[in-house]
Amino acid sequence: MSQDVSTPPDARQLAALVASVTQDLASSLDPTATLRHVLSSVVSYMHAEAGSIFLVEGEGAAAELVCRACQGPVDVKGLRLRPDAGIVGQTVQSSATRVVRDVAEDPNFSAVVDADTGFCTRSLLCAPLVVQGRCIGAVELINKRSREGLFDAADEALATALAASAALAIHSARMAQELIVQERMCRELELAREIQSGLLPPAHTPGLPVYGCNRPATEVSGDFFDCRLLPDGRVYFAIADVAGKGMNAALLMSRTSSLLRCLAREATDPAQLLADVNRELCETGRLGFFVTAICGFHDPVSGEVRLANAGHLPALWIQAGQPVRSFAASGLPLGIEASAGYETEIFTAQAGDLYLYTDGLTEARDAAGEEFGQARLTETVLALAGFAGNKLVQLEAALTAGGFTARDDLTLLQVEFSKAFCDDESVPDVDPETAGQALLALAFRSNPAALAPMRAALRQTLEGVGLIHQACEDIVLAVNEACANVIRHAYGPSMDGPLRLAVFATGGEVRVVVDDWAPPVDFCHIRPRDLDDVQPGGIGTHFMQALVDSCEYAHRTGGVGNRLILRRRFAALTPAGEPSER
Amino acid sequence: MSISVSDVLGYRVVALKGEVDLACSPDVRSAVLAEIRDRQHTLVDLSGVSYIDSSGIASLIESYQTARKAGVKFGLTGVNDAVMAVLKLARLDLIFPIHASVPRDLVD
Repeated sequence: MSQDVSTPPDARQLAALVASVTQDLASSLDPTATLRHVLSSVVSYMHAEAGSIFLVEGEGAAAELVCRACQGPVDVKGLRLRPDAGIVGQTVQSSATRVVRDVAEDPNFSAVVDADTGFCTRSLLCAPLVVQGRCIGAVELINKRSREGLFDAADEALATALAASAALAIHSARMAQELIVQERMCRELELAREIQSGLLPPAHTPGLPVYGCNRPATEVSGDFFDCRLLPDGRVYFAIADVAGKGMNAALLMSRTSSLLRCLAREATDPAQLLADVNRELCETGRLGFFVTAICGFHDPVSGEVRLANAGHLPALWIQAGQPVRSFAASGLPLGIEASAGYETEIFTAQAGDLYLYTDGLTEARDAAGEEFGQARLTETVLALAGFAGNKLVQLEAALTAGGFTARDDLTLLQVEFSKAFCDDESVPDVDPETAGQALLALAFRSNPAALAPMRAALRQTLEGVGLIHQACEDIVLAVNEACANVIRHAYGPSMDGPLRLAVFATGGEVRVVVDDWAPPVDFCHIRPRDLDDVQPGGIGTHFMQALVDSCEYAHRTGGVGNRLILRRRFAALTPAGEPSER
Repeated sequence: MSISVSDVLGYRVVALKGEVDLACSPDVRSAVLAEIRDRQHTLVDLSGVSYIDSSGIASLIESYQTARKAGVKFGLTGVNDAVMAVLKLARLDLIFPIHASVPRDLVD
């Protein structure tokens, strides 16, 4: 680094110097260290008394020049200048090196710093830091250590060349830093996603009649659902949608979910629960953030449901063959008004499902931009009313099949009210032997409450096949009697033995297969009663045999359970009561 | 399923509404038998019944037999096509007294 001060370098020497400086400067990827190193190198090469690096920070009207490195008797690090202020401003704006050989003769020189610090500036050299045609700042050098302290044209050429290398080094370090920050953000986001998904319960907890689904639009979600069995046997459930997306929404989501879950344990009134959480969020939350939510309690023993809705989309209670009941918001979203009040809806539900959902579902769009919407949602879940178990899978499948794509977090919650329906996977939905052919496959528990939804689903299927009304009713009654027999006799006093039903319509006949998992029945003892003897009992078997063309009992393969196959030919469809010759 | 009871022309009228199956026929049975055991002339109004299965029919048979033993009148009204089809299937259409409306025999 020994350079003769008196003789300026020729072009070859300059090129060699720049190459060595460039390599030297590029050695660090820490932006602060790089700035310091770059400045001290340039100040040293240029034999300057002092120097500073100003970088352009901020965009447009907010842009300013900030001193990020400084060397010399006066420290101006952190000094902020307007983007057009002084020699530095002019250099940056014109992307050209400026020399004020003698400041005393230059009207553009801003004397502010000198007045404040007492440092005597005699000569100034300011070179732009240009990367890929964009000026990112300037390096300013003050007072040459020799020649009366004044810079000349040779210094200008050298400074310009060194500044170009310096700019590249600063840019590389910044890029590296950005990459590191990005990578850290990615890791943090991934961690946040993990923590957040850990807050959500699994899609299904065995024994709990609740199913959930959460599909975040970004790594972290502003939606959540929750459900848990409380110590007193009630089931707590909730769904919520936090306004906005990203980290802030996710943090508010975590807070709201924790508050609700924590307070739910002792709560009996969902409206009060929402009011308490609302007050807490209003007192401690940030303005402009809010949460729409529904929370509720279901008592599986009494069937009582209590729920309250804070600005959320209406909850839907769907039952086969019954009008849809909708529970709309009774108050403002949480986090807006501390004194907001909510109302609790109380109803008794022994059948059907309650659906809670976020706008990610209703606002999903197809290619033509049409929304999935409330009407299509109601239609879809009504069509699923006869099925047992998790229907969210089918709902999502319907969304996809219709060409709809969620554009926001999509969260769904299904509370199954019927005790009769399976709440576990112990009953296979479909017989593997016949999978894929059945028009209808139902799995349910041997409870009388399961009969009505079973009939509704069966009716719908048979009407879809095109059978006349009375033929449908005949088959429905026959299947009802077959299932009622299992419910009354097969499992003893137990009301939760598994039952499975599959409906086929091929080869000119409707075939209904009823499977149970009860001890084998002695088929010889199944016979209709003598109708001339007016006695209750035994009528069911008579109905069954009178309404279909054949009732065939079989022990199922594998040795466990019984199978009953009811067949009715299309050609033999006659109204009930008439086939007395049978 | 809902059950309501009213007094019409001297009869206790037990009106059923909805689908009568194994899930609710025990309620139907005890509601009707309670009136009969109370020595009330009883009619079961089935006009609101859209579906009835063998357990519902069995409750009606037991009610009919209990009424005969107790010496009170028992019958059905409002028998629609859906219910009639099942009564015929059980061959009870000729056994149960079926009235188009509540008869005036107790007031005349």
